[in-house]
Amino acid sequence: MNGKQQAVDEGCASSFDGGDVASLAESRLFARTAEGDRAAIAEVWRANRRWIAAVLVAHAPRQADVDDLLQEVAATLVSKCHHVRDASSLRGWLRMVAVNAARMAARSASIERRSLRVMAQMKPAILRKEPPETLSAANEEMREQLSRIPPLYAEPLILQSMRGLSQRQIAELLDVPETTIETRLARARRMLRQAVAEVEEGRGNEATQKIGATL
Amino acid sequence: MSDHHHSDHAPDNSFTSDQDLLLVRAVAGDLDALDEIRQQGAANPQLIDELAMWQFDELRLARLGRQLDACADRAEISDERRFFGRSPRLGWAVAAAIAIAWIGQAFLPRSPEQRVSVAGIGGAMESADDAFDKYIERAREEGLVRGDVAPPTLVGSRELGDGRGFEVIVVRQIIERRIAPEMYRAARTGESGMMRPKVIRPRTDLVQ
Repeated sequence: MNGKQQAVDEGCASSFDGGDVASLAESRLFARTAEGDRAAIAEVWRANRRWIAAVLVAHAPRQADVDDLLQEVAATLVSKCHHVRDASSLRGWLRMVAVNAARMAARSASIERRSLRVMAQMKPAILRKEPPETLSAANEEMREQLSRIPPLYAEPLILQSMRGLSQRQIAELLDVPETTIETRLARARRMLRQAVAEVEEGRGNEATQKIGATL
Repeated sequence: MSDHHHSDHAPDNSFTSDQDLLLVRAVAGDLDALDEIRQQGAANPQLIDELAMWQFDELRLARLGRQLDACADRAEISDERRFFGRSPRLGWAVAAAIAIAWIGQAFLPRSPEQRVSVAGIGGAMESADDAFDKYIERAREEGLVRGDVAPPTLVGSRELGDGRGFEVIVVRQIIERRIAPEMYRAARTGESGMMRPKVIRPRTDLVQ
């Protein structure tokens, strides 16, 4: 990754600050994007892809491949960005594209699960799934715990903790009052605590059972 | 996660305690909230423990976030090859690449050996694709087809599974122009008010 690109990536959280200079630059970039300027579209993508990944994690099923979903959102940006009315609605539009991609993945996962259940009755051998290739065990566990939180609450939490967005920025992106975001964050963190406690309790029970079996 | 369906604008009626709101502000780095927790923590040590656990969660989330950033940074638009044919699985990108290749082949001029004569139709119509090409060519000459024929749109694809290749389903769109001596529109007629087609004929004064 070159220095300029890294600066764009690292600055994606600050690009939410709607100062006059930032807005003017965004408007110019948007105008080029709407005209189909490939370099401008790529720049818009680089500036937004990290928070888009966060939105995908909040809405997609845990087993969904975020890489694939990002590609879907990127493809939609390339092919349909001219539908966006103005620069100010671009982020909202991108978020909806990401949410829709994640929901489609959820539907596909549900269909896949049903198909696998049917296939399991015929050929159990084909059920063996490959282990996830990217996430470390700790992160996998974190994502599993996040998956227990409804997207309504998980999304602001992920945007704040993983992308460093402020409550105001999240409120603008989700188009809801800031106080609502604060309430959802509190609920999300409480749910996460509960999910962690359940996992730890499960481990405790497992350990007790193992000890019981050895005695 | 997506098993839960909530609207973004749904009212959040669930109970949230003041203590949780204070912890949210503290974890986000609000110094006033941290001071408040310190003061309350003197009488309620459990609150300090709670803050420690929430901060631990924050660290774990940040760690997952770093991994997610790396994942996001791999998704690059400017790299055409990666963008259109990246996935090792048979996902949309591969399907699109296959469709592009197939579409490219479909529009290549065919050699005489590949042409199959269809009895009774004559030498000019050797195959369905040839017939289609000939129709477009003739229709353009007669002014029936307007502009260029749009490239086929990919609807779906699947591997045939027997080694023969992939089945690709596409939609081809042709914009045609026709002259109709009369048209119909639906209109209510009689007391019953039933909808019936009514003939509309062209105005002759425009012709004069």
